Amino acid sequence: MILESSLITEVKINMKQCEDIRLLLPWLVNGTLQSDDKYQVLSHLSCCSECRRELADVISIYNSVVSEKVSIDSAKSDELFTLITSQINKASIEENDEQKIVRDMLQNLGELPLITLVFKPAIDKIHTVFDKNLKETKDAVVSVLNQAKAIGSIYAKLLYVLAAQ
Amino acid sequence: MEDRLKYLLAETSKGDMDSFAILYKELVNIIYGYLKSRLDMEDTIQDILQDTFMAVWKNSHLYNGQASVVSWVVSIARNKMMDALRRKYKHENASVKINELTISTDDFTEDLTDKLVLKGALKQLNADSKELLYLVYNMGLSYKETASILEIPEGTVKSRMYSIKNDLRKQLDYRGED
Repeated sequence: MILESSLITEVKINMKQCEDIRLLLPWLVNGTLQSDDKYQVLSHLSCCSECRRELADVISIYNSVVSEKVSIDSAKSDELFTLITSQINKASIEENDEQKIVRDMLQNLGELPLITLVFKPAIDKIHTVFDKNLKETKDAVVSVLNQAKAIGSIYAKLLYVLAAQ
Repeated sequence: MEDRLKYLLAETSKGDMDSFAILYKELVNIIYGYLKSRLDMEDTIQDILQDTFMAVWKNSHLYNGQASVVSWVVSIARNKMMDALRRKYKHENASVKINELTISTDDFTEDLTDKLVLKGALKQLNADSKELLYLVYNMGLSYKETASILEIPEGTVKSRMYSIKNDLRKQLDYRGED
């Protein structure tokens, strides 16, 4: 009875081993199994004929799959690359235009001494991000201009109130 | 090969169009084959290819070397494909349905060892299974890389491969009994 139960346990252990090994067979076949896994799989295969049959199935599937060569028509591929490069060039021109607009805006800021003085830290920061992030630069310049406008409008109101008195 | 691709990608990130052209030539068929494993629509495949390589050009500086270059580009292609399919099904006012093909048991002949039979059975697999087989067998990716591209656990990758093999076996056995 004890012998029978230990046999059943052994069979179960072997089945578990077989399951684990079979899960790895596709990667044994495609050659990417790491050495630890590979050693385990090969050792197991050397003494398990059932798993060797499984391996034969996996190899058949592998051979069938890799024999199906799929490739894009060469003319189509070239045409596609031309399209991609023209899109890249277009995007680059648009970016350069945008860069020029922001550069002009920055220059205009520099020509306003009061703004340059009041917003010096913000403008210095704008110069440091200019090459890295165009959108961030543009947003920062617009923000400085808006703040300057707001301050200007308060200053004008103040002058008006003072004049009225 | 991997070092060469990494070098080409690094040069691409500096704006070198010649390196980008070589990288494109090296990868276009792999990515085309990958997309073809899931999709039949040639126009859509070419649109996705275009979007993929545009993204490679724009984002080459973001490649951190952790995955292989091929895995990185396939991940981009997969995301673009999912976007395209979502757009397509949204446009058609239907739910997102990625599996475009279903398993059928109709086309097998009786000889188990006949390669043609196996080819027939492979053609009948669903799109998920074809995609997985392509990544593992045609692209030769490890289970870790495959899991990362498909965004599923490694255990799921292994068990799905195992279940594909079992399904094929069952279908072939079934036809063998006819």
